[in-house]
Parts: sequence; structure tokens; C-alpha cells
Amino acid sequence: MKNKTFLLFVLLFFFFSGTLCLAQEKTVEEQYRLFLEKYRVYQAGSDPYINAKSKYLSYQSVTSRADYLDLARKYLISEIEAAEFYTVFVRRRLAEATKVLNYQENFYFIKLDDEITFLSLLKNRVKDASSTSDLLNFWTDFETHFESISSYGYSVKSYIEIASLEKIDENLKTTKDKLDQYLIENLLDDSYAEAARDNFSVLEKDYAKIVSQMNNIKSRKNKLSSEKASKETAEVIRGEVNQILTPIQVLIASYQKLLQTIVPK
Amino acid sequence: MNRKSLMVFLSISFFLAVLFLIFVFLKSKNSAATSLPYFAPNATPTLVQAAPTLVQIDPLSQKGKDLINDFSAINNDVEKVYKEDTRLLPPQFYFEKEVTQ
Repeated sequence: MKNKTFLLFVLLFFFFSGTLCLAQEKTVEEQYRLFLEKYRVYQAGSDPYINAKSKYLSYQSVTSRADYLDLARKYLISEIEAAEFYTVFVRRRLAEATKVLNYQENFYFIKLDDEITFLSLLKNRVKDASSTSDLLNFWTDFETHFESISSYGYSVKSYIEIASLEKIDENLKTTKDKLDQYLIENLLDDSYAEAARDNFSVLEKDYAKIVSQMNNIKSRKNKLSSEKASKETAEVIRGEVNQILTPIQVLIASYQKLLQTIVPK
Repeated sequence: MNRKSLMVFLSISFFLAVLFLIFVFLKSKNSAATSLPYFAPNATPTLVQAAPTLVQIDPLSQKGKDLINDFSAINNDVEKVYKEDTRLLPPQFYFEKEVTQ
């Protein structure tokens, strides 16, 4: 009986500890701040590493080699940790966007989780590295994986931008249709209402242009997960997103102006 | 540490965890209450009873105003997308290639 009670308390203790840990899940901002802290640690380790390396290359002594290995290990670990925190931040940002934008993109979550696991394992292997060649091999592994992580970073950025735009497109269409219906209902024999209906027909052409541009951008979203996104890809998508935002704002202003002419104050 | 003292320790931990959860729960409830208007301790709260007035709302006009607000909300979303999230851009790292003279 005593043993059972003891076990129950232990289980309850762990249950509550777990609940508290879950309750403290980091926000996107907190996660980014943590990444910045780790990145600063990595940057601060740059000069000591370079000094140790040049000393090792100049003297080739046992002491300078030991110092170099020690600092190289620390420097590489700080790099991996910063990359790990960046990857977690990207994942968190995607999770936040998923919640807001109401879409699911499991592909990136799986890939980012794989990279986080890899970095965590690599960090432990670097801790046990005993030779320069071991470290260089780990550095090469890290570089290869960080290329993929960077690609996911660019992809997630573009994906969020396009998905946000899709949401705007959806809302714009719904509200525009409501306006159309409103103008039909507003059958008062009023010259303002008549003019508003004519004006709406003209604006339909502007809306059609936006839809066409939007379709081009949407097709890019599907390609994102199948190809490795680069800095250039992200910049091109950002440019296209910016290009469509201004006409949308102009159209919204025109719809509002149209409404203001017929809605009594 | 014998088993009895371990039991005492775990009981206290459990009790504290429960207290903490109650505290978090109450705090979250209170934070919602803080948005209510604040009355100074000495101030006498007065109840002003507004005379009921009948305002006839033109449904068509109200619908038009709602549409203007809906467009404003979309415009706010557009503004948010304008602000590029540069935090997602990958950081720069140094990759050691060789350590030979």
C-alpha cells in the first residue's frame, strides 16, 4: 500500500512538472530573443578562435594545438546552438502563422524537426571531438545541413507572405460580393446609387487584374516545397507580393469611397 | 534521505504545484478584470441611468457602414503584409574549411 502511494505521488509530481513546462511554451518574440542571445555568443567567440588558430599554425606546439582544439570545439558548438535556436524560431513562427492563417503545412514542420534533431546530435558529437580532422568533418556536416535550414527559412518566409495574401484575397472577394449585393438591394431611385453601381462595374476590371496577379503568386506557393528556395527566390516572391499590395489598397480605397457616397452619415 | 522524508518532500512539491496552478488560474481571471474601469477607493460610484431612447437604425445604412469597416480591416491586413519579417532570413555563419599552413 505504501509503495503504491509513493508511486502515485511520484507520478503526480512528474505530471505537474510536465504541465508547467508546457504552460511555459515560448512565444515567437521570446524565441527570437533567445536566438539573438545565442548568435551574440557565437559572434563573441570569433576573435578568440581566430587567435588560437593563428597561434596553432605558427607554433605547431602541443599546447597551442590543445588550445586550438578547445576553442574550435566551443566555437563550433556556439554556431550549432545559434543555428538550432534559429531553426526553432522558424518553426515557432510557422506554427503561429498556421494558427492565424488557418492552413497546415506539415512538410516544413517535419523537415525543421529533423534538422533540430540533427543539430542536437551534432552538438554532442562535437563535444567528444578529439582531432582537428574530426572537427573539420563536423563543420562540413554543419554547413551542408545549414544550407537546407536556410532554404527552409526562405521558404517559410515566402510561404507565410503568400498565405497571408491568399487570406486577404479571400476576405476581399467576400466583402466585394457583399458590396455587390448591397448595391443591388439599394434600389432607391437615387442618382448617387446609380452612379455607385456604374462605378462598381468599372472597379470590377481592376479586381480582375488583381485576381490574375494573385493566381500567379499562388502557383508559386505549391512549388516552394518541391524546390530548394534560395535568397533570390525569396526576394522575387517578396517583390511580387509588394507589387500586388498597392493595387489592393487602391481598390479598397475606391470601394470605401464608393460606399461613402451612398451611405448616409 | 529515507523514504518517509522523500514522501514528505514529494507531498510538499505536489501541494506547491497545485497552489501554483491555482495562482496562474486566478491571475488569468484577474487580468481580464483589470481591463474594467478603475474607481479610486474613496470615490463613490454613481449609477447613471440613461433614459431609454428609441433610435431607429436604417438597416441599409448600417450595412453600408459595416462594409466600410470590413474594407478597413482588410486594409489593416495589407499593412501587416507590407512589413517584411526579416527575422526569418537565415543568419551568417563561418565554416572552417582547413587548418593547415
